[in-house]
Amino acid sequence: VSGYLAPFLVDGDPVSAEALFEFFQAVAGQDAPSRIKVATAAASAPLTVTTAVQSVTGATVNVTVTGQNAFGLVLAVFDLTNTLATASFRGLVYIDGAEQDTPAVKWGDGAADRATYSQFFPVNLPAGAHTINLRAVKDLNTGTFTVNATNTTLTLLVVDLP
Amino acid sequence: VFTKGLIEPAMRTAQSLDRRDRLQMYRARQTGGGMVLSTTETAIPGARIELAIKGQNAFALAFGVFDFTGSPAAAFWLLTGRFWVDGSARPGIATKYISKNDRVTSSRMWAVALVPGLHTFELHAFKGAGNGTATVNELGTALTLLVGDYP
Repeated sequence: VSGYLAPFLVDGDPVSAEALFEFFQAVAGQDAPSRIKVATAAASAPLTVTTAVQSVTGATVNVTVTGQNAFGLVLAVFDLTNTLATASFRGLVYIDGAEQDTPAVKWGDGAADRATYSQFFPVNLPAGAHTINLRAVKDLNTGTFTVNATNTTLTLLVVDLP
Repeated sequence: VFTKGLIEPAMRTAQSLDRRDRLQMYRARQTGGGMVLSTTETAIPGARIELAIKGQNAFALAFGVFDFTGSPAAAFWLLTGRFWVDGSARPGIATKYISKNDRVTSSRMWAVALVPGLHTFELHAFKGAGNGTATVNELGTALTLLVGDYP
């Protein structure tokens, strides 16, 4: 890796959250302090997933952008436990009440399991206030899916361009 | 559908003196329905981005998500997703070990330095030896790029 990323990364290494944060802090300091922001939120309580879409408590970010060409990068991580479920889990991101089109997915296969499932995508952010949050749902009422608070996080990188 | 991070070539030229167009995002989702995996590494349809870089200190952070399904039960193999740049795989894989019927989104981030010129970014996938069927699904599979095009 050369150029702007060089102080933070070694070529071929996985990108850590710490390296990303340091990088964006540096970019913000050198380039446009008011244009790049990072907002994070963590789940504050476990969620027992049902067949109705529910919000993950605490996993909500509120941001206000001023630019007409602002955009954001959403990084959603669901810490999911499934117990003898044979249903499909979907970890969702909602922006201003609208479901985004690519969920994090897990198909319960009848065996107990726990893992983190992630999804990343860019979003348009019209000027104004926005609310981004994590929600979850399953398709069948079998077994138990739990979104754990421990490692469930929502991170939003905002590039607020005029 | 994400659109504003994609700046048309004419606009990009017009804005080239302004730092605000140097950090951009791109996204490509899988298309064409589920792709059945084989032991031969294959490009995932739709999960491909082509773009032109101008700066000498450009980079891309890539976020790849693979929506893997494996079946039937009692099949044992690794499903692997990789990120390719200009015809070569980058180090590091997203992976899922299948030992029963299962479906997950496996994800990974990569960083790559870029030289001026045209570049192609793709997600590829394959399975290891084993019985049964493995698929990478359209619903959750996508490639996202955060590109910094710095002089």
